[in-house]
Amino acid sequence: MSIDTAVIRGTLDLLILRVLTLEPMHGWGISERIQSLSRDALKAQQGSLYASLHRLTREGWIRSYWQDTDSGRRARYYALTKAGQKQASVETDQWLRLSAGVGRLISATS
Amino acid sequence: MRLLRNLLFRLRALVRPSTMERELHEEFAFHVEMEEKKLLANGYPLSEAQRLARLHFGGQVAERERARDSWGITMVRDFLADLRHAFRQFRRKPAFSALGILTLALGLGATVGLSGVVRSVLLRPLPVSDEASLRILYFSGSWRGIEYDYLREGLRDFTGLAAYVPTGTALRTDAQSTVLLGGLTSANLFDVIGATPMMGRGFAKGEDRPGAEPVVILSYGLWQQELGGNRAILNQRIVLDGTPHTVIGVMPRGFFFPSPEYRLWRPLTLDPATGSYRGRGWLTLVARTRPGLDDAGVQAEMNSIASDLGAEFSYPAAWDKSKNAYATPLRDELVGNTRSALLLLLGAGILLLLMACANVAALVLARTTDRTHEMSLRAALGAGRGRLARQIVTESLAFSLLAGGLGLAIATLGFGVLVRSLPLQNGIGGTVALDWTAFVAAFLLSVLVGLGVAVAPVRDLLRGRLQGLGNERGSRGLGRATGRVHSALVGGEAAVAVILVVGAMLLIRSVGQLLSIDLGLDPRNVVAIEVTAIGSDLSGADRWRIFRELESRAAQLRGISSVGLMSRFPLRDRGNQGTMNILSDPGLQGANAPNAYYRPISPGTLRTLGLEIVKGRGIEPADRAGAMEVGLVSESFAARAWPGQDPIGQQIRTGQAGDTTAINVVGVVEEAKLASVAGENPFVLYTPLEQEFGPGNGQVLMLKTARPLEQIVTEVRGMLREIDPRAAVARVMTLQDAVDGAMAEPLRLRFFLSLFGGLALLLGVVGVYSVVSYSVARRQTEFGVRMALGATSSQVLTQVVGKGLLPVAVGTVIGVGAAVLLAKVAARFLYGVTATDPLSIALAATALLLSGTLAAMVPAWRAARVSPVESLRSD
Repeated sequence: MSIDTAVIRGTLDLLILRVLTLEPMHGWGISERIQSLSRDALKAQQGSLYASLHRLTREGWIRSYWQDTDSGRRARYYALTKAGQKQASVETDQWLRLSAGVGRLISATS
Repeated sequence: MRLLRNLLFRLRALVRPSTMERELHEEFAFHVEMEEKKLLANGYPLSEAQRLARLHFGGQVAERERARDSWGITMVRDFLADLRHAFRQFRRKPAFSALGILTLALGLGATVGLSGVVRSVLLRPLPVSDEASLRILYFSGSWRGIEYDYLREGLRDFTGLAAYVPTGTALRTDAQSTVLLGGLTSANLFDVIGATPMMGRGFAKGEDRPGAEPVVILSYGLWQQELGGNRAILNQRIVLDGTPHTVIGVMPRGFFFPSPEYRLWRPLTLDPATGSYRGRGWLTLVARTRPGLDDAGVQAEMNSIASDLGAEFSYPAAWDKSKNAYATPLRDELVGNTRSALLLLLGAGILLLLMACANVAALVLARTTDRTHEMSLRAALGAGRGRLARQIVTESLAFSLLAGGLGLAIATLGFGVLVRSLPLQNGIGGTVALDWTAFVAAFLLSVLVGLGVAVAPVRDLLRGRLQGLGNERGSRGLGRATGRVHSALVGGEAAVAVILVVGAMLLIRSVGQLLSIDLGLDPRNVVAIEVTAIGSDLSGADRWRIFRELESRAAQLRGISSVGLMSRFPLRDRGNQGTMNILSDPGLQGANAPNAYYRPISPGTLRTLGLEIVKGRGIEPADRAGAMEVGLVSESFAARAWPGQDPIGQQIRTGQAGDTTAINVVGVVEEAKLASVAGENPFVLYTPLEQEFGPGNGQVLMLKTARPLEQIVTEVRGMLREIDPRAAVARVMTLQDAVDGAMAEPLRLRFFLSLFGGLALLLGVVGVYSVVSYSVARRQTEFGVRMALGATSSQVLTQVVGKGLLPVAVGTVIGVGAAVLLAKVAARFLYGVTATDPLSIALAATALLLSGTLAAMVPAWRAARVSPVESLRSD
C-alpha cells in the first residue's frame, strides 16, 4: 500500500523538486519517478501533482516548456530554476531535520 | 525577479485563460495517454487500459478545478465569472431586477441624502465654543431691559449672560437701500458664546452704553457679497439705518448666530431713561452655564431666577415671569421643529431601505433555490461549498453596489431639491452640504445590504448541502426552509409598509384639515410688501410722509382694486399684543385683562384683506388724530369682553404704561387667522393708523390686485426712490404664499411620506407577487395531482391565495401595533388628526391586505387554470 504524498502537506513539493534535480521531466514522468524511486512506497495523486507543479511554476522554483518526447509526442516539461535549486536544498534540510526529530521521539517513546 | 514572474504567471492566467485551459487539457491528455501505454505494456487489453488510465487520473473536472486553483487567480477569475453570471441573471428577469435595484437605490439614496442633512443640521458643531453649556432662557414673554440688567448682576450658576434681538437693518449704498436681518447684541455676546472675529475685534466693554460711537461687526457673507470683500473695510464707515457705523470686525466664514439669516451685529443699547427699558419685553437671553451643570441644575437655577424676578417685579397674570421658566439648548432654538421632522423622514427612509432589502433578499433567495439543482450538480462535480456561497455573495454585492451607485447619484443630483423641499427653518438650508462621508456611507451601506441579503440563501445553501447530495429530491427540504424565510420577509415587508402607509395617511388627512381651515381673510390676489423707513436722520414727520404717500400712490397703480397698511405681516407675524382693560367690567381689568393683538390699520386694509364688518362700521378716513379715538374688535373678542351685550359704544383702554386714552368700539370684524394659519383665532383690536403717535419704522403695504408680484414690487421700488430713497423694501410675498408657507412643512412631510408610503405599498405588492408566484411554480406538480384527484380550480385558488396572504395578514397586524407605538413621533406634525387616527390605520391596513390579495391572485389564478396533465409533465 503506497502512501498518498498529500498526507504531509508540502511533501509533494519536496519530492517534485528532488526528482527534477535529476533532469527536466514531464508530469507523468515525475509521478512515475516518485513511485519508482520510492520503490512504490509513495504515490502522487495526479490532481495534486499538477496543482503542485503549477504552483511551483508560479513561485518561480520551476519553469515549464513544451518539447517533444523521445517518441515524438509533444509534452510539457518542467525544469528547476536557480531559485528552485536553492529551495530544493532548503526543503531537503528541513525534511531531514524533521524526520530525524520524529524518529528520535518515536524511538524514545517506544 | 521571482515576484515578477509570479505576477506575470497570474496575469497570463487572467488575460489568456483560454490558452492556459488548452495547455492544461493537453497536459492531462498526455498524462492519460502515457498511463494507457504503460498499462498496455503491462499486458492489459486496450479497453481496460483506457478505463484504468482514466480512473487513475481521477475526476477530470475536480482535477482541473484544483489545477486551476494553483494558478493563484481563482478569486479574481471566479469573481469575474460570478459577475458575468449575475448580469446574465439580471437580464433574464429584467423587470424584477430593475425594480429591485431601483427601489434599493431609492432607499439608499433617501437614506444617504437625509443622513447627510441630519449630519449637517443636527450633528455638525455650531460655530460657538462648547455649545453644550449655552442655553437660551425662556419665560412667558420676552425679556425687558430692566430684567436683563437685574439678572446679569446676580449670576450664580451661569458664568455669562448676553442679550440680543433681531432687527431689520437698512444698509444704504449709493443708490438704494437693502434691508438685512441683523442682531442688536449686548457687548459681551461674542465673549459669552466664545466666538472671535477673523478680522478686527469684537465689541469692547461700554460700546453698548447710550451715546457710544456706533460700530458694527459684519458676517463673512455680507462682507464678501454686499461690501466687496476688501480687507480695507476695517475701520471704514457704512451707513446703517441712516447712521454711519464704523466696521470693527468681520466674523469668520461659516460663523452664524443665532441663525445663518443674521448678517451683521451691532451693540444693543439699554438706556434706563427710555420707556422701552421697562416698558415691554423684546430681548432674547443666552446664558453660559457653569462647566458641568446638568439639565436639572439649569432648571433649578431657572426656578430660583424666576422666584427672584417674582420678588423684584410685579407681573400681570398674562405673563407672569415668576412661572414657567425654562432654558433650551442653543441648537433647539436654531433647528426647532426641524429636528423631529428630519428624524421622522430619516426613519421613514430607513424603513423603505429595509423593505427594499427584504425584497431583494427574497429575489436572490428565490433565484438561488431555483438553482439548487445546478448547485448540487456543481458541488458533485467538485465545486467547493465556499465557492458556491461566494457566487451568491458576489451576486448580491453586484446588485447592491449597483443600487448603491445609483442611489448615490440620486442623492447627489437630488440633494439640492431635497434640501429645498425639507422644512428647514432659519436659513439653515444654506449651510447644508453633502460631503465625502455620504460617499463612504453609500458604499458601506451597499456592502452591508449586499451581505445582509446574501445571508438567507447562503445559510440555506450550506444547510441544504448537509441533507445529502445527489438526491434529486433533496431540493424539497430546501424549498420548505426557503418558504419559511420567504414568509418572514413578506411579513416584515407588510409590517413596514403598514407603518409607512399609516404615516402617509395621517399626513394626508392632516393636510386636508389644514386646507379646510377657515382663514377668515381672503388670501387670493393680495400682494404684501413690507417697507421700512429706518434711520436716525428720519423724523416722525418724514415717516408719516413716506407711508401716506406710499399708500396713496400705490392706490393709483394700474389694476389695483384696494390698498391698505398694517404694521405686521398678516398670517405670519405675531407680536404687538398686550392687555386690554375692558372699562365696563372691573373683572376684566389690570391683572385679569384679556390679551389681544393690537393692529393699527388704514381705511382700505380690511377690504384688501377681505375681512367683513359684522356689525357697526369700519375704519374711515375721518378717523384721524384729534377725532374720537375708535377701534374695531374681532367677534370672539367682543363675545369675551361683552357677552350678551352690544359691543358698539363700549370702551377699551390698552395696558400700555401711561396710556390713558379710552378707545371707543365702533365695529365688529369677522374672525381671522391674523397671526398664524394653524393657530387659534386671536382676539384683535383694530385701530386707525392715523390715530397713532407715529407710523413706526415699518409698514406692510397690501394691494388687492390680479397682477403678478414682481411687477408690483418693481413699481413700488420705483415709487420709493422718488418718495424717499432712505425707505427700503424688506419682505415681499403674496398672501397666498404666506398661507402656502404655513402649509409648507406639513405639505412637504406629506409629499415625502406619501412617496415612501406609495413605494412601500408597491414593494409589498411585488414581494407578495414574487413569493406567491415562486411557490406556485414550485408546487405545480402538487396542484396537478390534486386537480387530477378532483380538487376544483377554486379550491386551489383559495388555498394559494390564503397561504400567500397569511404572512401579509400577520405583518399587517404587527405593523398596526408598531404604528400605534410610534404614534407619539408623528403627533407633533399633525393638525386636527390624532396620531392613532383609526380611519388612517384602517385605510392603511385595508390598502395593504387588498393589494396583497390582488398580488397573490395573479399567480394563484395561473396555478388554478393550468391543466393537470401539463403540470404533471413539468417536473
